[in-house]
Amino acid sequence: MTVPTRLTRRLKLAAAGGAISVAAVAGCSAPTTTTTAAAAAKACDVTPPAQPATVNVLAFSAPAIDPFSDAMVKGCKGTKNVTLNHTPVDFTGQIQKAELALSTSGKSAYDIVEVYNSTLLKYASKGWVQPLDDYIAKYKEKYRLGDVDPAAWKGVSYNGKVYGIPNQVNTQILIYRKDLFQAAGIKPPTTYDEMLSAAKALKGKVDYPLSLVWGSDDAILDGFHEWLVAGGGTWFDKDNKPTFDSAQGRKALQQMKDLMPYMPKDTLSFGNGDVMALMQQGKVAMTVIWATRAAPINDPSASKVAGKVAFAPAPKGMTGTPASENSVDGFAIAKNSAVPAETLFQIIASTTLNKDVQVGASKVALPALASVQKDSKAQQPHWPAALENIANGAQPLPAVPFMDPLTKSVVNPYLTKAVTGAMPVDTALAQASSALEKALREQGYIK
Amino acid sequence: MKRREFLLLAGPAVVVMTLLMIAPLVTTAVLSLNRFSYGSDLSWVGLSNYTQLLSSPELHSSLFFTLAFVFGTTALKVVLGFGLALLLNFAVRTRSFFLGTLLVPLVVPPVVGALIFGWMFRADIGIGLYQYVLTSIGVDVDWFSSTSGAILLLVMQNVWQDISFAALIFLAGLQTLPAEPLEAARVDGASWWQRQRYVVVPALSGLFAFVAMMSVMDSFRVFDSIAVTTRGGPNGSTESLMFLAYKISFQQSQLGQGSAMSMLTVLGIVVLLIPFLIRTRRQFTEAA
Amino acid sequence: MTAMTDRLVPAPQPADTPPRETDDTVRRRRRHRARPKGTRLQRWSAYLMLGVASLFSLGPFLWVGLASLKLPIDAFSLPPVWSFTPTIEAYRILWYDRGFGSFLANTLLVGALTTVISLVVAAPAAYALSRFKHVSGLWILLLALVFRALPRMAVVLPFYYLARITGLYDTRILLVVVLVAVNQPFTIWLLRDFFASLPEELEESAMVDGCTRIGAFRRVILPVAGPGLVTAAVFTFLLAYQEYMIPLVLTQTDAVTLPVFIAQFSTENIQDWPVISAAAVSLALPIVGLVLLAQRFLVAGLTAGSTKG
Repeated sequence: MTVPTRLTRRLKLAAAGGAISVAAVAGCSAPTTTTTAAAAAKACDVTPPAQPATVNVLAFSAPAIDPFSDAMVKGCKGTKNVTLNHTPVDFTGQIQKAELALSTSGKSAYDIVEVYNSTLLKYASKGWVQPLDDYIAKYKEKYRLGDVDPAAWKGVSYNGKVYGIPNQVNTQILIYRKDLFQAAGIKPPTTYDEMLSAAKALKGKVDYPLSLVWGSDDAILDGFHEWLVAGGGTWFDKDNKPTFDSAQGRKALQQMKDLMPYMPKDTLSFGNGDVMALMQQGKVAMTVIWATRAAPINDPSASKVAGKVAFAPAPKGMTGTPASENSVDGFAIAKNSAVPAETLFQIIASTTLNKDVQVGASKVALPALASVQKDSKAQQPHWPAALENIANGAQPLPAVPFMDPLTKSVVNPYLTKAVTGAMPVDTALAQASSALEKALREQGYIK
Repeated sequence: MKRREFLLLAGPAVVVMTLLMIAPLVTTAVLSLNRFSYGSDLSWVGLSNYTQLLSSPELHSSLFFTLAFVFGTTALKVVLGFGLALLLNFAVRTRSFFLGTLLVPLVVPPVVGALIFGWMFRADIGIGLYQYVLTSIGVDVDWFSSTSGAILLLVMQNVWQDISFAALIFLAGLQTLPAEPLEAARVDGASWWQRQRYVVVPALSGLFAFVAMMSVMDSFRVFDSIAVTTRGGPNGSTESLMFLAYKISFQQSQLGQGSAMSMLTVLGIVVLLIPFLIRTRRQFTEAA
Repeated sequence: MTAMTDRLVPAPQPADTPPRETDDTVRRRRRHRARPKGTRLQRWSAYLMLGVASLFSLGPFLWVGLASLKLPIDAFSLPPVWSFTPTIEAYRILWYDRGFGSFLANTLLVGALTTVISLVVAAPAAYALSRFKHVSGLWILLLALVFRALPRMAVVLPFYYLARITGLYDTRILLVVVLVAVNQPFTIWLLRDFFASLPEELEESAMVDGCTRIGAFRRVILPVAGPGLVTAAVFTFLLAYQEYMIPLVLTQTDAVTLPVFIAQFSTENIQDWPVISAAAVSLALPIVGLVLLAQRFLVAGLTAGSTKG
């Protein structure tokens, strides 16, 4: 039969053509070196280890994280006896892979792991990451570690010891359309009531007066946290028993519920990108969102409202605590890594905490170095608001090792039900509290 | 064929499947009888993972959604897939082109396909072209914030991705239909609809069963599209069984319960496939 | 005649089969049948419906592809912006900054290896199952069914431990072996069906002449198994190409495949939206080319399996 040979010939031709074009493109994929990476190459100061070592970095891809991952990986590329590997993943993929890698006995698949305060607390409490106080003391002068904001160190500490090297701080600030506010004759809100009345005043003048990142599978917990602490509420007592089923908790949920009519209908499916997209298209008048997300709002190639927005600290509650959240991002060292911890410390600290690297990253991240925070050249439009917010006492998520993802996944469904009206606020909180207590007991966090 | 020949030929495949499918499956089954988390020791709990899961309301609503999803997608894929196959069979010269375009959603990685399909229905944003067109003509559905809208969106997404597979199978079947029975029916005065109903469909009944079976198996395990579109929302109404397993395993770090969830899902699929299995067995025993 | 009843995908044929058709007669017959028998209205309504289906199928890719060439301010604008200044910045970031090309190459390699090894292992087994008239063949097929239905999550943890223990974590070879195993059931299924339609006389006459069963398989069966093998190859390749959970858990740097690579671009970052759009197009275009070539084989493979002799 002639048919098979004709088909196979066509197949072979196609395969050859495909292979050639893919090879050509694959060869062309030379990544460009950023100025931050160039600064990092100068900054990298690592004593080559005795044995050749492969250092695997686990970090997800985000505009605020990439500069620091790149600083390490590209900056220390030339170090003798050291090979650095980094393939970015997604955020949930990072959590999964980190837990898998750090929890198995034997050599860890990843040596350096990106962390933020909540995940670091979890890993530190399980003894999965290396305490770093000795190295910090040793290299304090060399890497000028004294310049790091004390709040940043606090965010990566557990039980009095430091377990991570922070590279940035973050907080949720108010971003608002100053043109709309001026036209309506109102000032940016500084309390909840002002926020509600501003929303009322702006209704009809813009598609959505307000948009918050309240994704029901993730950030709605951060939203609840903000209004809970603003009202003076707490999450847990010293025995890890939930205490958010309280008057302040109920008030916070009710406040969230009352804001819903002024927000897009799909709010409970929103991530940070969704809110930013709406803001950039000019459909939203105000939002409270992470400061690191602020830069694109003024990018004229992406935003219709570039130049029309202003930044302010988040509204405060009755006790003066901002309805906001702090967080710290950094890198931690796997306890079960085959690479000497000191080498890893050198890689991270010499590059990510280098002043030029931090200045280079300042467009997208709020630096951990105090001197850079005050550096007028590095200053970004949203920094004053962010720094004031932190100074006002914005709080991170409670310093317990089971916030993310455990508490989030247990409590979020009830928050969602309450906010949509599917369940009364009191019932939702009561059930959330008992469900969480049960889960914490099962996992051994409550004795 | 002699038994020895059979073992020689089938040996490698059996070894591969035993080592790399049976062994992990058995491991997961054993793990499902324990309670453990990352880095913690196994603690034997017998069947209590299963009893806890089976009595949880989350599982019940998840099962309800999954069954509704399976039924909806399978029915649509069978009916619309057959319709598409009829159309493709009819259009001879342009068939390759149309079939090629229909196959694109099937062959792109499911996560990417699901994501961009979901994007088409976003409100307020230019990436949501379909939603824009729909609202312009007055059809205003809350795809992400209403349960019925979300389920409909997920069903459409799944049908959009997989329908070309059904169409392909039916097309191959239509192409090999012998001409005689159809001619005889036409000569007897049967209308097109009658010809389909009394000659074509019965002749292809095996293919209908095959397509339905594949759809049931794949829809039952739906996860990727939910993870990038509704993430189980709104209010947890679109959590499929596998999404629930993911939540339990990776978010609550209850790896034992997560394994139990996976085993229950496998059991569910086998139960749903019993009619197909009986049919296959009949074919085997007829042959012997 | 014997092959008719033991098929999972039964061919719709009556008891007395027409004589085996050569390539020429097939073409001649098809040309005769080729002229659509409908009225002009029927033909145009059929084309219209197919057109709508095609548009619905490609719609997201076309629209997102258009968005990938716009600046973000235009891409996300409502009402949709039709005249804009095009930009390939998204593609530059995807291909040059993030190295899409190398991950594409790796995925194609892994897919090709998986396909080849999969066929080498599955074809003899499928053939054996098609000839072995013992009920244990049925049990194996049932097992294949269960494995086909197995959610990846059920086996992901054991695979991870296996990878760490054997030291083969993040190697292409382990990834290929696991993907082969995961796709075996489906491949065996497809091929068994195909082999069952080939009459046993084919190899029996060779064996009478002194060939062993295996020799007959190699010399007589395989040469005519082209269409079936190609069909199985295409499906296996696609399944390997699309896997996410398994490569996520088993790879980190050297053997990462496209679905895992793509996942790093998150809708959480508004800056990633154009890159995701570019990725969707970059994934779809080569596939469209491949599919336009292969879909003739797909139909041929599925059809040829039902040709009786």
